[in-house]
Amino acid sequence: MAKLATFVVALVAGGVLGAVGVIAMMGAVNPSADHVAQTTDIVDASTSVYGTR
Amino acid sequence: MKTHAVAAAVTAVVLAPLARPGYVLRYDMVFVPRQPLNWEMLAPADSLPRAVPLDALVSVANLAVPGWLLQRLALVAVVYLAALGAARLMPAERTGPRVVAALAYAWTPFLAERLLLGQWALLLAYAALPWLVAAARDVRAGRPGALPRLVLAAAPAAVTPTGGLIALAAVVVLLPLRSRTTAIAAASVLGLNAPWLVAALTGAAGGVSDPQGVPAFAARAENWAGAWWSLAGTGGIWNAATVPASRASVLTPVVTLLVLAIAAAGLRVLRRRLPGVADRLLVLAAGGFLLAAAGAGPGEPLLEWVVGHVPGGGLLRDGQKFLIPYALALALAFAAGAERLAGVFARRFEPAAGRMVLAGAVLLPVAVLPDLALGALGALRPVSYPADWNAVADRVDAAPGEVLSLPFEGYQSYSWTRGVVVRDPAARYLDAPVLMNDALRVGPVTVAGESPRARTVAESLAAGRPAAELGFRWVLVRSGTAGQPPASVLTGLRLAYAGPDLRLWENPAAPPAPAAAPDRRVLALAAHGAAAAIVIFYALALLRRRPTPW
Repeated sequence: MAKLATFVVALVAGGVLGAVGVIAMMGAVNPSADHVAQTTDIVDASTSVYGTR
Repeated sequence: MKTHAVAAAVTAVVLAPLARPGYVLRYDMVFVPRQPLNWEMLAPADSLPRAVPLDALVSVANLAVPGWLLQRLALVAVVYLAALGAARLMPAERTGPRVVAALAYAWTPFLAERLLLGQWALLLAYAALPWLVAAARDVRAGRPGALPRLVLAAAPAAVTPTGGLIALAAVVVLLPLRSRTTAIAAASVLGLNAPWLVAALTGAAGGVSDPQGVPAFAARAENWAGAWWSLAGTGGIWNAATVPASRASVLTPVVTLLVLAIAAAGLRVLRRRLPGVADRLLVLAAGGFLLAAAGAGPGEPLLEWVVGHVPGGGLLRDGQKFLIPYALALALAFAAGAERLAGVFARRFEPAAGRMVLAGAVLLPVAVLPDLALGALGALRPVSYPADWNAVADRVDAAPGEVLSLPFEGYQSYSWTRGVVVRDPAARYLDAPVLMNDALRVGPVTVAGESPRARTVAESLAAGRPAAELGFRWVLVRSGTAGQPPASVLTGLRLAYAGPDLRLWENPAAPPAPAAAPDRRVLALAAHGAAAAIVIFYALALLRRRPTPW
């Protein structure tokens, strides 16, 4: 019974973390069209703005 | 020892790209091979002292340590000390909850976003706060050596005006009222703030700022849950370009709710184990959160009035930076809640089930923000300065004089930074006063700067009038960027150096540089000296005692 409980807790925790991590990572590597956030390169090398909202 | 290992592991994973040679240049983060030590670093003549006494400290450190190494030391210190400080402050006997606190504080949207905006000096305040709170706890408990530790913990925070104010507020709120120790601590931390206060009071830049900066720098919604919920998850920075993309995930607000629920469950534990301090930390956190949320809510008109009318009010316009105490309170409460939950599972089932819960809590910040790893997936990749910078610095060194840096934009992206926006390096690379435009473009909005001289120069350049009339000895033109000066602006100047990335023009008709007011220099030097004396005094006081666990 006890070992089953640990297994279930691990399964649930792992499942939640996995789902959150996978979805967050998918957003990180493939941002949606309406999301302008970027953390790497700005392609236009002539930008003169401090930032965009 | 385990907490040191965890802090080291987090630091290594976050800052992995810094193993490569070069400089990480992003927005406000500009390190150069050797930053000169001049009066502009102690008290800038034409702009607000936003990097005082930071610039002077970097210049002094640069005398012994090259810029590339100094940058790595600073960034490693930020992440390592944040993780270790939270772990040590966490009131728990077992290592598990301490590790939860370390990850919950060192792997946050706040740290990621400010790092991507290059505000490493503000992050020194972030890293220092757990140490400051721990010292405040010890002062309240009457432990010997606590007061020196408190002031020394406030010192790295006070390298910027915002960090200094947060440290001062923390001291006033966390320590008991009407106590001699509180008065001494507050006076000492106020002394640490003296350099930027003196520079601001004696400078030519006006004390008030453009109210347009309030909506421009207000907290921003990162996902469907809105700006305030982004702040609740310690994100919400104004600049969309410095937000890890995972913050837009549909699940992020749900995870924020989960974190807040676990933290709420841990509040009682935290208050019991940190009597007095926990309540006061919560007050500090609530105050910081209100400041952060003010610009993105009904408080915006009031904030605009403060910024536009009260000298120094501009410090409040980018309110999200005041989330630091909230981030610490949230991390500690979350760790306490996770420990409580783990205890429930361990008692109900078996100890291994509790350990699983703690392991989940450790990994949750990483799972929801995976793109902080590896320098935000490569965003912190070092680059090299073009050789032109050294050549230009040598020429200016040979005949020092004021420099006008064109295009007249404070922040630009370059091909050699791989398109990343960075503050004009000229002010830190050249050993001469450099006039930069302190107006800031945020999308289509231009937030006016505070320097009257920069405004005059901008108007003259916009009208196409020759730069030679403006009285600068040198005119530096950064190539390959938007806003290249027209030929009319360069009329009357003699080309002194031409490279692929920089061109340096000399003004043969430049008048002698106006002598700086000696009083101002004396005051600036005295303020820096006073702050340094405070640090040395408390360091010696600490060394005279027997070694303490920190």
